[in-house]
Amino acid sequence: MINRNRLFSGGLIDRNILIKFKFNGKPLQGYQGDTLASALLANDIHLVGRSFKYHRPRGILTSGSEEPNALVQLGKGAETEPNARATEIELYDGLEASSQNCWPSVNHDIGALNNLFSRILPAGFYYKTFMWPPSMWMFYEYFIRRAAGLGEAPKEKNPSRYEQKFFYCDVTVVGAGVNGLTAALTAARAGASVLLVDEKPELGGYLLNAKSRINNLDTKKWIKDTVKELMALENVTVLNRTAATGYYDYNYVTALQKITNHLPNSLSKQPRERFWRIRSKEVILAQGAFERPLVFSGNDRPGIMMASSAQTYVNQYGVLPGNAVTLFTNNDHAYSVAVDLISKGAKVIIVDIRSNISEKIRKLCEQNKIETYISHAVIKTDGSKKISSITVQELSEDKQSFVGEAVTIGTDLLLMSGGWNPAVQLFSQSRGKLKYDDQISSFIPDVLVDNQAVIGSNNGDFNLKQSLMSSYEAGLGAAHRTGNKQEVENFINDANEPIEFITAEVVPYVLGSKPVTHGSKHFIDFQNDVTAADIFLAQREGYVSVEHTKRYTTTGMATDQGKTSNVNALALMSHIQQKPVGDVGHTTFRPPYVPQTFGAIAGRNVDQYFDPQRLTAIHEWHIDNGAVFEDVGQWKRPYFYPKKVETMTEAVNRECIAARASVGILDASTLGKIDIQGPDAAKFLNLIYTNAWSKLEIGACRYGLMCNEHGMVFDDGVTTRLGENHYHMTTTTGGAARVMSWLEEFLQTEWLDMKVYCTSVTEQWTVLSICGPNSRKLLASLTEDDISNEELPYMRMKEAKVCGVDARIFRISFTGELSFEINVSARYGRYVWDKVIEAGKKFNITPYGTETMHVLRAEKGFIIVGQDTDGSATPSDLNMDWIVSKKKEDFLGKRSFLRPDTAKNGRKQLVGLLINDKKTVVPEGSHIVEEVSKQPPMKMEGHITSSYFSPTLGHPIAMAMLKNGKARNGDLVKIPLMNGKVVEATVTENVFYDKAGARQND
Amino acid sequence: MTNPSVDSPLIKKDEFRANGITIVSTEFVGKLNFRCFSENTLILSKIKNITGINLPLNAGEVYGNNEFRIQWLGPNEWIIQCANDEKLNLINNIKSELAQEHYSITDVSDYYLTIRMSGKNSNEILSKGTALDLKSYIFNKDMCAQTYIAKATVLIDRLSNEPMYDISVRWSYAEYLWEWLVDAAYEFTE
Repeated sequence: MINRNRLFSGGLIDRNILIKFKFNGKPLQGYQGDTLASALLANDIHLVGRSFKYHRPRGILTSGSEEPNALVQLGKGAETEPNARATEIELYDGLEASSQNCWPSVNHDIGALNNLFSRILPAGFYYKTFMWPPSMWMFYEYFIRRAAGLGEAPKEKNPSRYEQKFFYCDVTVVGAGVNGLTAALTAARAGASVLLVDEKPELGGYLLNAKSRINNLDTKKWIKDTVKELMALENVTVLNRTAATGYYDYNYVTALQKITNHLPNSLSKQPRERFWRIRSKEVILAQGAFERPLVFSGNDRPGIMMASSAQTYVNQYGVLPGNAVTLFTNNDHAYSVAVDLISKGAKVIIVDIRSNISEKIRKLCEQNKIETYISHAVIKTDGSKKISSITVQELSEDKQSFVGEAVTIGTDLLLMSGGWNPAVQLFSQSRGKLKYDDQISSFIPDVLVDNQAVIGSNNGDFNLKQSLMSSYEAGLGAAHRTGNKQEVENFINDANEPIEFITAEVVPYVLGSKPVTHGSKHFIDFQNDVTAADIFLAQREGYVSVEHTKRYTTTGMATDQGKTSNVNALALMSHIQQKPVGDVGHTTFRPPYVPQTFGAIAGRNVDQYFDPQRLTAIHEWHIDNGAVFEDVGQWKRPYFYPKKVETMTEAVNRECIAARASVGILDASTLGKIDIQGPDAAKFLNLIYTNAWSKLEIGACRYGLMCNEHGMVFDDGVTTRLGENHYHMTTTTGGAARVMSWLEEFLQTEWLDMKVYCTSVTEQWTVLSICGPNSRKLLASLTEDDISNEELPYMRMKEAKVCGVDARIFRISFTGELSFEINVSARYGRYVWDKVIEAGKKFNITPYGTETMHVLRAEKGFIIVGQDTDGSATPSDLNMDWIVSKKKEDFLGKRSFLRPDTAKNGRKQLVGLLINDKKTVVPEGSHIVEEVSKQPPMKMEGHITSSYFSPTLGHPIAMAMLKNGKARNGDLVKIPLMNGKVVEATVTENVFYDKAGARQND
Repeated sequence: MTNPSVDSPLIKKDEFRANGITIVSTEFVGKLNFRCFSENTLILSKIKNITGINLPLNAGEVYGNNEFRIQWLGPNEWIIQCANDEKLNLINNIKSELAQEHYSITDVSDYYLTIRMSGKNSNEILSKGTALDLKSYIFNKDMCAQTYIAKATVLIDRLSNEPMYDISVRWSYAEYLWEWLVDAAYEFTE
């Protein structure tokens, strides 16, 4: 046999397939079907890691996902995974794992000094010690984080793929133990679509390990048959290696499926993990229960393990973790473990804290020659890196004192069983209410949420036959309620377990050789190194609420979320506070139920899929012509087009001058466009915009401002009347969706009688905006239609053919130049663009980006909603009273103009600024202050909203929102910069260029 | 002047095939957004006269014949699909027949581009990105739905119970969606 602790036969491992792996650099071997934990135990390695705070040697406590101790660093480099639970890692060829939170090695760990000083490191130590001076916290934090840590996160990008999946079914069953299998099969036979998930590779749950019988079959055989039938049914989806991680409102369950984690250097194209989002009409929880540790002195050494876990290692993995075994228990059920271990050759002593045991148990011990210490406690354990001996002593009737002498017993494996805690975490997440059950001394489901069932030991039902009957009922009920009415005969005839779990009293702490608050190490939470003494301390210091105790002591935090510790902590609080556990209550359970990778949560929403890029029909041309892109919402817009050695400033200056001197071209396709039709369209626009629309002629364009109900500007754009009852609205690029929703909201909720339909047509049209003195000549060379100033004056639209393509030509201008916005169907966009560029060569046509557009419009004093406005500016604040109708009875925002604050004088108002030094381009966002002092705070009277160097004017220009700005023309203002300089500027009008508008109107 | 050439982000895409997946872009067809009050029986009968099919009135219904396919978008909103060169005729017919009625018709033929996905693993791909329940007894042939695939809004039209879908997506998101679908099919590639 390759492994010292491996049994010659038995278990679900495949002894024909040898697996090589490394732990802390040491080459080891295991078998197919092992977990890292079972393989380590097979190799007699009990010391796996160091504890979080005191760096105490720790081993493997459990065999499941609740494992608090055996956390390892799995793999190397980019694929390394910290805090992986050895009990959950399936062994694969080439696996490498190492202990974490220890240096230089798990055997010789410097941090273990903490253990010697543990008396001065109680709960709250960091809070109390590192408070002063506050400025030093950042310094302390570095060392604290270094000292107390879990594993290391990978420093490289995760190379694995993670996928997600939405899934729907009638019934989801969480947990494929015998109860889950029964419910799933019943629901499936009744015709329901069923999803069955289980976190283990092997379905069957705990009873894969036990000597129980169902329908007179060995349970393993029954499980095999049932799984086989389920797998064959078309209406059933079975997912192993899949943990339900979250349970939200209306039976929305999330689950993490591990797909290639257990495969060596997988070349599979399957994702590593798949995150399932499951919505089912019914959910049945069958997650079983966790065995509860006992709180006694020195209960954390390697070689101390949960009794049922030892049973799992023996029966499922063929590993006997120790030979001289002591079992410390408070209940009958654990005796079955002793029997199993004895049958594999171990010598077992039982220490039972109860005063009496039943006749049945007494006989069992006689038959199996088990030595028992009844009414005894383990008061002390020894062994530095693995347990070597224990000390037991008889307890008085009330368990509060000792009688008799202490006895030391050599042992290499100490098992503990304090009863069972139903796995109610997921149930509690679903908002199900719990109650404390005195018989099993744990919380069980009380009030269910709708369309839910909890079965088996998850529900506190530990009687095998009864729980299977209930599971059948639950499966049938769920199927019936989802409309699957086929009758299903009850297929559970009989079931029994050799020793049933009936009752266990919770033991707040077991009397030790030292008083519990004086240096004894009664661990309650193994992962966070919380002892019984810490709970006492928290109660003494007033942290008596369970939520406070949790946070003060960290009980129940971290990767295991207190699955082994919570109930013991609550019981101790109950003992100290002298009130029932049910009244102490429990902390809130939150997702995820088990640790979950960020990769799976992100899925494929990474890299280019993190946020979509919206592209126009001209996008490739922009790339080919060297555009630098700017993100505007999700759109990619050309920012500027640098020639080989140009800086951004040089490129923008060149583009600005070309647009004013000859002709520039801009891809304006991203502007929002909404087609508005209906007899009430003009009436509708009158209410939406601040200005009047009734008299707009067919073919005419008009600029409009939209305000929200508060009278604040929220979008602007040009709307054109295409026909009698037909308008084409444009919006800002970023505001398109918001405006569309705004229009629909009013049509659908306020103005139901209005006959108007709105349809988004943003992408229907590719928009080429050409501007500059030569733009008419250029366009004339591409169309046979008359586009003269008489035929197509400023603010008019004409339908014409451009380059043989149907187009709408709008004479509108955002640059102040003669300008045409050519709209063509997107499919012809690129074709027309190419033709315009080609024909424009003789005018030195210059493509320009958003930055040049911003400069050109700023020279004209045109606002950009969202840049010059921030949701707190009225049209009047923007110096745009001219666009607010005085005659209209109503429009959105009008009422708010009357509010005192909106109507008052001296609000922040839009002004132009000329920078006095004629050269500084003040950063946008800079503050204008009343008086400059050496350092902030300075009283602020405004801020810069737009600021550029104007190549046309040869000096910088800026716009600002300035208190009482309208009345301050000519004032000198001061703008302190981050670098300490102070810039002076003169308040002016915000139109800097061609005030008369001759260029655009020409 | 030469004939204007058409272009789109999907035109250049080669058909994508993987195990049980075929993804192709479809040719341009006429797509008209049509809106009216669904209880206006006059409009309903006129549309029936013009297209030969009724406007579907139940959520997610699609009616079609050899010439037209009408997708339900909302209680007062549809898309009428027709052959590319029939589009102007159809618009003009509707305009002249419904002259006095309150309705709207808007050309959205280029607003949406359409990706056709078929093959037995199509649902596996789609269920990675859409919250729609694609089971054929719930979302069956001749049903459509407006929803998300990943982060793009789409109109999914199921063409047959063997998985085959026309996925209409806004032009600006077409490149993103195509790449996303191909990426989602990775586990089915050779």
